[in-house]
Amino acid sequence: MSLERVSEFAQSLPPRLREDVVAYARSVDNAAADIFREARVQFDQRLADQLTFLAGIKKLYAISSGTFWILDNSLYSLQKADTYEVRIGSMRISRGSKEYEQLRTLLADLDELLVVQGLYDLVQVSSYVETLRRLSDEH
Amino acid sequence: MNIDVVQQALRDFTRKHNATFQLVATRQSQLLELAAIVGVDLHYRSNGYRSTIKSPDGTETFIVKTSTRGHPARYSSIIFEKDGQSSEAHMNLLVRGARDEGIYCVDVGIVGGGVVPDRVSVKEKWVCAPNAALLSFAEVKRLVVYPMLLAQFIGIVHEIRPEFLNKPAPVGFSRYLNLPPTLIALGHFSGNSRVIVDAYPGRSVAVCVAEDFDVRLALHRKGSARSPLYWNETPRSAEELAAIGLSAEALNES
Repeated sequence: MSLERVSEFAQSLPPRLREDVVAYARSVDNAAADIFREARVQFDQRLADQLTFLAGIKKLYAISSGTFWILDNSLYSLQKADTYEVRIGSMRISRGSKEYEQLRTLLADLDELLVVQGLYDLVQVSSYVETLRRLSDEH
Repeated sequence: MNIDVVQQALRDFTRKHNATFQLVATRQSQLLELAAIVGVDLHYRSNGYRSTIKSPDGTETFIVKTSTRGHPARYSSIIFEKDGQSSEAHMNLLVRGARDEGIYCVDVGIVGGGVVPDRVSVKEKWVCAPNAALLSFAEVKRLVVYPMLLAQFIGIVHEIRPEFLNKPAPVGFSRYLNLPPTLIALGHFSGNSRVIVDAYPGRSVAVCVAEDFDVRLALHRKGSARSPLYWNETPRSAEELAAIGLSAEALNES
């Protein structure tokens, strides 16, 4: 059921990103029983659904965050060599360029959404065992 | 967590940022390749090499080579100099295999200085860099490090720089010198892949595997890593990651 919900919010994404998000959520869904066992939490379908849903969000966050920081760190390093702009095909990108700001805003808006929904800290947790324990405590 | 409310918020979010997600989907791999050559540059710079970006017509824009096609002189490269010796890093460089006439394209190719022509010649068509001129290379993957990825990478080394799979390993390559053949990955070690990499030195496999590369790049920016392709002698700590405001886990999964 949660996989359908992940697919639903990912519907507007370009096909490749949508597949990344859904496939990742599916892999966590498939591993749910093991995660419950390792976390020593009694299996509960509602919790499992939340875990799968959260996995989809984490992947979306990883895509948004990773792309921006990879670019920002690359531009920062190139600046040390007095190079302030990068051309990729027809796109020219630099700090402050339209595309840079788009990626920065994307991440900032997602951060804000997660904070408002009370999910920011949960999305930062690296281990699914720990994520499940936290979900279980809130349950 | 109210899944209904969160789902609606995410639906609105992905719709609102549709154009940006299109940008991400289109450019993600190219940005990663850019980050790879930046990582190689930082490796050399952090080891005392003087590095200069060379771009066509002396422009101050770094021109990314995004595919196998095109003469390398039409794109930016990076020159490394130290102790009177020079080498160059090129993106998507075509190189001759070590064993036959096969031609391979490496994400970042490091060759001796002057090997790649810096002008397009109408008389002589550029085909590829000769194998003997290839010092090293880096391959970058938007994946976790898993055993079959390692096997694929070692296969590439076997075809184009097999010397790094034999004893004695070529001299002049290490975390402090020239970069040995390197696999750069955004993800962490999955399954038993770390066990495989840990066994490489004992098997005379002299390569570098730089997992969690996005995290390494961020750490380097904060001054906490020498070369972003090698962890510092002391392992990174949770505090170190927290200090740079990074969600290492989230980045790793992209």
